[in-house]
Amino acid sequence: MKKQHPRMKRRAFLKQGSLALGGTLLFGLPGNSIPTPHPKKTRVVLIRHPEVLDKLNRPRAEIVQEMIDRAVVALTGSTSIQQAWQQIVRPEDTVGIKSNVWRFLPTPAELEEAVVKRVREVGVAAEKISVNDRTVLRDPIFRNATALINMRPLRTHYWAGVGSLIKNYIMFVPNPSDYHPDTCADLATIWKLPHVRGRTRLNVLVMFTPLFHGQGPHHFSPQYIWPYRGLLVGFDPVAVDSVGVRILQAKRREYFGEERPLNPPPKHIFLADTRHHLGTADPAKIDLIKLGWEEGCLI
Amino acid sequence: MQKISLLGGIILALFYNISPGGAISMNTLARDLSALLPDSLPGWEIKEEHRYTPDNLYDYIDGGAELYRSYGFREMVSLVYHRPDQPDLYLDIFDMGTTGGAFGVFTHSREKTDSTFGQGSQYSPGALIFWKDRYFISLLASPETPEARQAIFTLARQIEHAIPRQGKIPTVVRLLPRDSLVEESIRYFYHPVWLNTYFFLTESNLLHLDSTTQAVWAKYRFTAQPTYLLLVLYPSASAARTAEQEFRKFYFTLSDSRPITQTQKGSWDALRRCGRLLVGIFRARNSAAVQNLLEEVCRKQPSP
Repeated sequence: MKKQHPRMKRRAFLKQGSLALGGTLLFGLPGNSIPTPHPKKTRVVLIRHPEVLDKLNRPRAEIVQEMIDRAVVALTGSTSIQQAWQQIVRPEDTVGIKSNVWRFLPTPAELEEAVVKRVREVGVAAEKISVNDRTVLRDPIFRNATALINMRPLRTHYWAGVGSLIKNYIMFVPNPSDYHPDTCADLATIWKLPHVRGRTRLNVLVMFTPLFHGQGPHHFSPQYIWPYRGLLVGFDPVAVDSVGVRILQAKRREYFGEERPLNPPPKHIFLADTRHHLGTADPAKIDLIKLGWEEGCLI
Repeated sequence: MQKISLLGGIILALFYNISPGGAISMNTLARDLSALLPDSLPGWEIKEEHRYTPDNLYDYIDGGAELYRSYGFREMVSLVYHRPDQPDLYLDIFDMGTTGGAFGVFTHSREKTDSTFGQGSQYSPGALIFWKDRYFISLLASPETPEARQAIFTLARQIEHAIPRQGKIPTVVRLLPRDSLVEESIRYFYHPVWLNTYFFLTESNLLHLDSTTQAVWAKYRFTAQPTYLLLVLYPSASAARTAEQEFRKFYFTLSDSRPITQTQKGSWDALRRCGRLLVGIFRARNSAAVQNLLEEVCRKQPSP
C-alpha cells in the first residue's frame, strides 16, 4: 500500500464492546496459525450505527473506523483496539484484503482504508498489503499471503441465492463458472484449496445498504436496498453468512408482506456447514453479539 | 406454391446463415441485435459496446449468466451511455432465442404488472425491464435523475418499435384460470432450479423438467393466504405420468392416488394429471377451491 497512515493514537477504551465480551474467546496466535473460535459457539458481532451513512448513503469514514474497531475488539475479547488487531494479523504477515468491486454495491473504500490503517499499525509493511478482488490470482501479495481478510457487502444473487463471504472467494479459482453447478452448492471447497486454506483471519460482511431483492441482468434496483447501517464480523464465514441471510429473509418478509424465500435458496452456506465443515450455519451454535443501534435490527 | 430447388435452398441457407438443422447462425443474430439499437440518444454518447454469447456472458454478469442460460439465452448486446454529470446508463438487449425464454426471464423477477413497454414491463426508479417477441431488455441508471429517466424511456420506446413482432405467450401460461389469479405472481420456466420459487418443494428434479417441458407457477387469492398453482406441460402423456408417479411417491404421503389431500397444518395439496399436463396445488385453505381449480385447468388442457 502506498499510503502512510499516522500512528494510531490509543483510542478511548470502547466500553460497551469490551464489557459485552465477558472474557470469552481469547486465543493466542502461535506462528501464523489462524485464530480458533470457541469450541462450543461461534461468535459473530453485529454492529450498527445510525449515522454511518450520509443522505446519499455514502459511508462516513470516521464512523466506519469506529464500527470496525469496536466489532474487532468485541470479537477478539481484547481490551483495546491495538490489542484486538494484533490478534488478527502479525507484523511479519503478508496480508491480502479480499474486497468486492461489483459496481452497484462494492466493498466501501472507507472500510478498506480503515482496515488497512489498522493492519499497518500492527506493523505490517505497506508493500506487504494488497486490496484486490478480480485479479487476486495474479497479485503477488495474494499469491504469497499468510493472512487474508475477507470483506464484501451482502446481496441477493440470481444463482447462489446470496452473494456471501463464502462466495467472495470465487476469484481464487481460474474458472469461477466451474463452481456454478447446483446453484453454487460447493463453493466452500474453494476455501480448502492450498493457496486459500487456513489463511483467513477475519470476515466482514458489509450491511450498510444490503440488497434484498434483484431485477434485470444486473440484479440491481435502488428500490431493493435499504440503509441497515451495519457490519457483521466474525472468524467463521459460514456463521457470519448465516446471520446475514436471516436478516435478508426478515427484510424480505417485512417488505413483501409475506414469506418470500430467497430463490434459489443459498444452499452453499448451509452445505458449507453440513457437507464441507467449513464452519457453522446453525443459529443455535452462534453467539451473536449485538452492538450499537438497535432500531430495525430484524434479528 | 413454387418449389424451392435444392440449389436454391443452399443459396437461401447461405444468404440467411441458416444451418442444416434450421438454427439461425450467430452472425444473423448479431445483425438482428444491431438492427434494434437506436441510432443516437441526444445528449448522450456511447462509452462502451460489448457483445456476449452463452460462452462469455459470465464475463459480464458472472453468476447472473446462469439465469439467462437457464432460459435459453443466445446472444446479447450491452451499451453504456455517458453524459457529463449524469449516472451512466446501461442498456442490455438479450436475444433469448424464443418467446418463452424472453417471457420467462422477464417474469422471473417482476413484482408488478405493467404494459407501458413491449409485451410487459416493470419500472422502478432508475431501472426498467421489458420483453417483446424473443427479446428481453434492461435499462439501468443509478441513482436515477430526471435526465436519466427520460433517456431510459426514449431508448425503451425506440427499441420497442424496432422489434417488429409480438411473441406468443407459452401454452402452459394460457392454461392458467383467470379468476383470483395474481397476475404478477406468474413465473414461467423449464429449468428445475426455479421449482422452489415460492417455497421449498424439492431439491431433486422429480418432475423431470427440461427444455422439452413448460412449467408455470402462479398464486391465487381465494383467501387471505395465497394458493399456489403449478402447471407442467410435458411433450407426451407418458412423460407426464412418469413425473406424476415419482413426485407423488416423494411428496404425498397417501398410498392411494386421490388427487386432494389435507396436510398436517390443515391446508390442502393436490396433484392430478390431465393428459400431458400435470397440475399441482399447494397450501390451499379451501378444498372446494382446489377442486374447482383442478377441474377448470383440466377442462382447458391442450390436445395430446
